[in-house]
Amino acid sequence: MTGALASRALAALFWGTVAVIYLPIGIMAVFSFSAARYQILPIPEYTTEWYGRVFTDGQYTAGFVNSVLLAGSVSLVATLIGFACAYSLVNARFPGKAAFTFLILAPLAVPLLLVGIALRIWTTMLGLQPSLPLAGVGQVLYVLPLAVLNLRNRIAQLPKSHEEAAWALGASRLRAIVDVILPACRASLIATFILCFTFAFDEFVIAYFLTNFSVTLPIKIWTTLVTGFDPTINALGTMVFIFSLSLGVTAQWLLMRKVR
Amino acid sequence: MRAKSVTLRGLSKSFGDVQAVHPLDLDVQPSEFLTLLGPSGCGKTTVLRMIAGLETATTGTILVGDEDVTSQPPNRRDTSIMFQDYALFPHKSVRDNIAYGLKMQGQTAPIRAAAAEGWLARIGLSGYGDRLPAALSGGQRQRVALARALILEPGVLLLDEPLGALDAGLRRQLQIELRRLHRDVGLTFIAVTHDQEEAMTMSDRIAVMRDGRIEQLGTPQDIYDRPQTEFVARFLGRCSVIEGRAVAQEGGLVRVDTAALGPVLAIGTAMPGAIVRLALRPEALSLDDAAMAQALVTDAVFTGNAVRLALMAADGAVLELDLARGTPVPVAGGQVGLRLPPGAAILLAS
Repeated sequence: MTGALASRALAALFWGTVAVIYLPIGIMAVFSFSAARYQILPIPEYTTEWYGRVFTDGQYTAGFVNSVLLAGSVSLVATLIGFACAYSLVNARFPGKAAFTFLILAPLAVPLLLVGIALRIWTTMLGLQPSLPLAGVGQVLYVLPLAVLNLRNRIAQLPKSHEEAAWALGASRLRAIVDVILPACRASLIATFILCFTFAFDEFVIAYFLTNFSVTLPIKIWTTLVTGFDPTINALGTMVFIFSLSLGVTAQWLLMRKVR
Repeated sequence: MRAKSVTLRGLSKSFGDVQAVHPLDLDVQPSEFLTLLGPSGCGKTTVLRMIAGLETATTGTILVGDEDVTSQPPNRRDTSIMFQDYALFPHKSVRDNIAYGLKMQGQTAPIRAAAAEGWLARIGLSGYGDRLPAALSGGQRQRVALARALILEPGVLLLDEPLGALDAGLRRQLQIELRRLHRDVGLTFIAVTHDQEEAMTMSDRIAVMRDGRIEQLGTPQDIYDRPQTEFVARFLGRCSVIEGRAVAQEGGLVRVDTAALGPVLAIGTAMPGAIVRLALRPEALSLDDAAMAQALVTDAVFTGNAVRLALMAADGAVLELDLARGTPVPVAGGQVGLRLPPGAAILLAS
């Protein structure tokens, strides 16, 4: 009987956790259809007006475009650099490899606020103007550990003999990577790109510190919230949530899928 | 002549503190089939990988033909290697796998396709070109891997446990096929295996390796009939080992006094008075009621084509004897007389 009790307690814990994470988002989604300006119950009247406003307000669409461009370039660069790092971490033997691994993965452990402030101070000292590309460089630093971890796991699974066979048949080191390693990592590369994209897309702190006028979507949302509540945010938040969630699920599915 | 010789001089390899291969010399003739035979961890695969360029030599030089390739990367050597796991590219079709070497040479697609079809026909897999390796059986994959390695007609083909991933029946059949293929293509083959039967069936010469050294090099018959050490004698086939004292040299043979079998005329040379060890193959001994040497039958085991008798000699030495089928089998616990023809025992280096 204690077993059944324990499993029931576990189930309760699981659903409790899910509720804590998703209930606020669910409430936001419900209010995004409320015609009232404030979040009151019962909901007086249902409307899709706020969704329409998201698209008619030029600042939201501009922010969305900026965010997609930024996150897209950041993930592309991070996936490419991450692949190169992961490949050398798996294959190369060099002194200080452990330290190198630590340095690459360390940004995961540093509070993002510190990273943002440090980057701002540093770029100012270098005389660089805050801009979207600069924020991109900062965000690459932020998502690179994810890319390296993902791809390192995949590359480490591959039999070394495949690459060696390609060399023996006349392929150069680079050619063997392109012909043998990259195809075997295809799903992982796509998943890594998507994962980096979702993280960069939602990223606020670095983007806030390193941009001036061309604002990303998270910054636009934040400034809107600071200057006074606008129900449009509920609609926007709901859409962004669904967008990010579907990307994340796709990435997970690609990573979990049995790869031959 | 495409086939190339391989010359190793003082070749060694250490991994950190571990000396995997001690400095060794080896001369492989063009078109020869040489097998490196030994238990796992004896360094045979490391030698093969150094010839392929997949490991760098710690000391020594490697010549393929007349060319010193010691510091060449694998893609610049006139060698090809087939791996135990075949290492077929899983996302490429069988045809593209076979033609990969030609693609690296920059051959056009029609030439590659034609050459691949030729090899597919040769290995009996015509019509399988569009399949992925995963859709083939183990034996078929092995043949595709061979074709892929041979399509460039490398001066030297290296085979790492070529039949190791197959089951016993198929392995025996493919030993013969591999031997025939070697004759057909006329290239130099260097194989690595831990299976003595495989080595004996396929090879022109065998290098028996132990603890990073070549213990003995010779034809399969040499090595079976004239093992120089107990390790080689026991690794290639079954044998019993007895001790004795050398008495005198008589022609090519040496007379040895043994406690187990009395006076024995063994192959080899030894200083009179020296304590020596003799190896006896199970087929060397035969039963002879009139013989002086007596032994106790401890067990009789049916092995298929013979009955193997386990015997205990007068001094307690354990002997084995293969009895042809149809011969009456003595009962366990009984005494038998043993005859050992001159030259049937082999003197081992101490």
